[in-house]
Amino acid sequence: MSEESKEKPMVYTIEECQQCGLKTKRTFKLGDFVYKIGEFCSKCKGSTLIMMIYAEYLKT
Amino acid sequence: MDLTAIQLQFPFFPTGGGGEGIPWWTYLIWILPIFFFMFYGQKFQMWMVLNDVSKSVNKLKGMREKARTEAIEYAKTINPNTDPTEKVDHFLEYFTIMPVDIDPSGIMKKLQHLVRVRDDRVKAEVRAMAPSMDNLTASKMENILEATTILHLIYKVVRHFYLMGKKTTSMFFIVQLQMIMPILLQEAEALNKAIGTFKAGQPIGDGIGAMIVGKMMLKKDKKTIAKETLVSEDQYNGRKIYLMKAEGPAGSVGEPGTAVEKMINEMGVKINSIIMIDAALKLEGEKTGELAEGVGAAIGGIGVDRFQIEEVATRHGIPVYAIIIKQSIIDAITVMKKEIAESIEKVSKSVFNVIEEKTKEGDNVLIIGVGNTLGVGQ
Repeated sequence: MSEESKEKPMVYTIEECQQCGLKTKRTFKLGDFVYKIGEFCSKCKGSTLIMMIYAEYLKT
Repeated sequence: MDLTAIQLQFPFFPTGGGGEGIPWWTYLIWILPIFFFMFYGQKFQMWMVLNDVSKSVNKLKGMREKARTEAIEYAKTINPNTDPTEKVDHFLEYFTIMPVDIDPSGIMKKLQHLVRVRDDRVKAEVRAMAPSMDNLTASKMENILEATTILHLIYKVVRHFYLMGKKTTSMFFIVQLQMIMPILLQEAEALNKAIGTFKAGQPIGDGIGAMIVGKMMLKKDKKTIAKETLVSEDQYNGRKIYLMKAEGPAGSVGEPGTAVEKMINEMGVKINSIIMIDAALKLEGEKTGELAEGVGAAIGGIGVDRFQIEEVATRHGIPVYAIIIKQSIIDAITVMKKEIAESIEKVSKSVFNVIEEKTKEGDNVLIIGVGNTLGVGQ
């Protein structure tokens, strides 16, 4: 078994505000997909776009 | 019992190799194994190997069972009124007979036809599970069933050779199986993990090409050019750019081969250069997410799309440039790793460098984002 198989992936969604460019990282939610309109920006309340969804491996 | 007394009856056992008082029977400790391994060595080795393979077969069986259960559970969430067990089991035994290749002339057309028929049948069977399901759910179900089918096939073939080896007591079957087992287990493990990713609709490593072109397509008009394949137009430094990818966020690879053929042969679009972006398998020791540039059609699969693109490119003298993002087989079919997702800027820069260096103003450039676009829109 590979080393990676012992690691647990945490999947994150990266949203980017289309107005102020603020990037936010949150846990992936069902229904998210890359280039989907995301939640409102926490800084300027502008609309955000999901730019990335990726896994980070945490050693358990 | 005084064992030293027996020594008189067995004079060929000396009293000791260097020391006095060592009883004769201690020599049996090394003499007996010699005879044992002389007569039963191969059987013993066979038993060891069989035991090892048997453990791996059980592991594969467990993975297959888990995948099958997950496929059934997912199908139940789509249509809770029916029991999909029979349909899923029927699907797992589904096969495709490859065309005759003794006379290879025209084999690609046959292969293309066969792949289309298979895809249509798979889609129709999935649709039959719940006719009202949306495209995204249907594509997830298709991907889950495909991964489960591959796992089922791996398990069946491994079990076949294991049982054949056991039946014929042939070391050839068993030892070969034992040698390739780590790779098979690794692939099976990747497929098992992939099912969870498909269920959640998360982008997979293979989708990086589609993700890069999807970003370029944002806020542009998109037209369907072939089955599940979209194309957009853009401008860059005096060049007209055509962007092509499979339609996301459903899990599809589209038909880029047919789309390129249609665009150039039927629609008469004059393309000066093609740039293909795809995920590619890395060699051990290479870094995940590293990019490399080259020439040729960067596209995997059975070879139909690659053949179509090569054919059109050769006929019209169009250079094909390739940009690949390196990753392992596990990375390619499981949720996209951070290193792969973050390569998007580097790859985009590389694409525009190729455009500037290899094309001139007024040229038409086609950029194709290859790969499964699950979880990636545009």
